[in-house]
Amino acid sequence: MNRIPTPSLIAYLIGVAILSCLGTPAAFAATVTATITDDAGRPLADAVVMLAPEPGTPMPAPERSRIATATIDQTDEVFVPPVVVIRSGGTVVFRNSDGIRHHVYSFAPVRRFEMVQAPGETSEPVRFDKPGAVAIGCNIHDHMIAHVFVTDAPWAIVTDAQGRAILPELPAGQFVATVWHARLRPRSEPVTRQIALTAANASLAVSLSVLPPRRPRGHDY
Amino acid sequence: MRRIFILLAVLCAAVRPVAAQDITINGLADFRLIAPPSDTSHLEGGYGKFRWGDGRGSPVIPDLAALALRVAATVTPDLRIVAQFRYDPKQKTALDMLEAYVRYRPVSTSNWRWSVRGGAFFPPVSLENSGVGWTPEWTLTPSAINSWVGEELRVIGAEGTLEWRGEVDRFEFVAAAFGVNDGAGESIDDYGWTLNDRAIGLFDHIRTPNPGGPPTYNYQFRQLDHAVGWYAGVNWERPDLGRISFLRYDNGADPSAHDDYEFGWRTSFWSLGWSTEIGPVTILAQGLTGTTSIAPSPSFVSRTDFWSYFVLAGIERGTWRFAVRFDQFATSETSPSPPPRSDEHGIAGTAAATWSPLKWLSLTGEVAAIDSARSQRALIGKAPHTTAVQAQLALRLRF
Ligand SMILES: [Cu+2]
Repeated sequence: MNRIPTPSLIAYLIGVAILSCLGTPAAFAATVTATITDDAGRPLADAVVMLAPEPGTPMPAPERSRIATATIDQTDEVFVPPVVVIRSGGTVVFRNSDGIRHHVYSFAPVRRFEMVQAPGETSEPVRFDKPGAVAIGCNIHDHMIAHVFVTDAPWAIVTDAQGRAILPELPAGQFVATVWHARLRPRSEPVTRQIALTAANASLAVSLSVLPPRRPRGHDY
Repeated sequence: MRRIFILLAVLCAAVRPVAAQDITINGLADFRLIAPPSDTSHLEGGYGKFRWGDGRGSPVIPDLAALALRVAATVTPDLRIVAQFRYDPKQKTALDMLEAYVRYRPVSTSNWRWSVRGGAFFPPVSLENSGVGWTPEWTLTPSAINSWVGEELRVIGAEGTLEWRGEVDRFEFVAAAFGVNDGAGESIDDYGWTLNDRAIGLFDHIRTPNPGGPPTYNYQFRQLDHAVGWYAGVNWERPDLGRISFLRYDNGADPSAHDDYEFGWRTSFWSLGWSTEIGPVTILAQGLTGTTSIAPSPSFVSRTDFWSYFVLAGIERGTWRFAVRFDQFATSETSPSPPPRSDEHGIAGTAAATWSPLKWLSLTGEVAAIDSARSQRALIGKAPHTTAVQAQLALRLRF
């Protein structure tokens, strides 16, 4: 007996075909290796590389995001790491590994907060709802500076000392890559690149025009 | 001087209840080998413009340049006490205090932040001296401007700062009222500009040239009148521009006031500084112009104008740090006293290289040369014009 495809089976096959065309994380897992350099071609550490899908590329559910939380430690009067990236609505935990108090605070319009941290203390998660760059300081030690970059992009990562960042398990599709750095020139436009992902791994090379690293000014103690 | 002891007692009393874990202590031990110039240093009563120089032409001498401690105590998160001490047997007291102050700075999550500090501290003039013991960051020897600030100026009073922190620009407005610095200005009249990294301690006094006579001293930290000194300034900082600092200073001394030790040296100046990074190079530039005068009697009014500027370029490469600096300076005196007067002009070049193989250890070599002319050198039987070189090798240990 010839089997006649039922309407439901046809719908199922069409659905599979459409999903295959759009791509799913399981079906097409690509890895993007980003290399960020400065004008002179030197590796740029602590740059934030973000990938957001163009319409038509599936978004992962926010709870699957790898950038829901981050931790910033304080050791030898330095914030470590100096830059973290989290998704809007994500949280940052501040830890004080020093033997002295710190007074962590932000006066950034997108998230203002302050808290004194005793030696050895780990904070409650601090939630950041709005996207943007948040400069974090210590009101006792002005030379301590960190940045929390809050993004709506589902994928983001901070470059290492070699200026490299690896974003794994991306679906195929059209993406917009945005790169941010704390030393971008004031009021400069965000640096973006279009990137098309297939099943294969891809690389992204971006050179940023950044200001020279700032030295601490005057005495602060 | 009694006021300073009272201040010290108050500070000690305030420090006592502080929990031990909230005190940060940084130390510096600085050992030097010096090839001094032949002129006798101004610190030894001569007209020599460097810190070292005994007039005997010693080829190379070892010396302890500094044993300094900086103690910073966080009493509450808003209240901080900072004190700097230095041991140096050549001071009037072997252990002296460079500064000691209390800073109150409540946290602010708005664009504005204010703070006040009170005690004894350096006026916010130097772009160079950020290290323990008020040592400069790039060289062993600070510029002529900041050598003078270290030798003569200390704010014994209170300072308020209001900051506005924008997205790009940042402004700091600062103003202070102070006293007990009525002798400031005498040294620049007595021996002019110098290159000297030994900032004066609060209990110390400075030798002044007295050719052929017994040692005489300047007493910077005296209050001879009821007038209050002040300064006011603004700092503007933005990432692509660096930091521009502008300050007007007036010690407010009554030029007709005097006691057995000191005249009231009315000293005022304008200072403009700029620090920035251009590529990997740090640039510091500063200019200062001012005047100091005494009028012990209506018929005797002496006024000395002084100005100087410097430009420093520094670069850091791995464990190495290099800096070069050019200074130019001058003074001119209008006085009824017979010549030679306090007239001088000169230029100076300084080059320093620092190797820091470990966080707590560094080696610095520095060569500084001054080409200057001072008419008062005639008083020691020397021609006004002279060229002097001071070379140093420093071994510095920090904790
Ligand atoms: Cu801190």
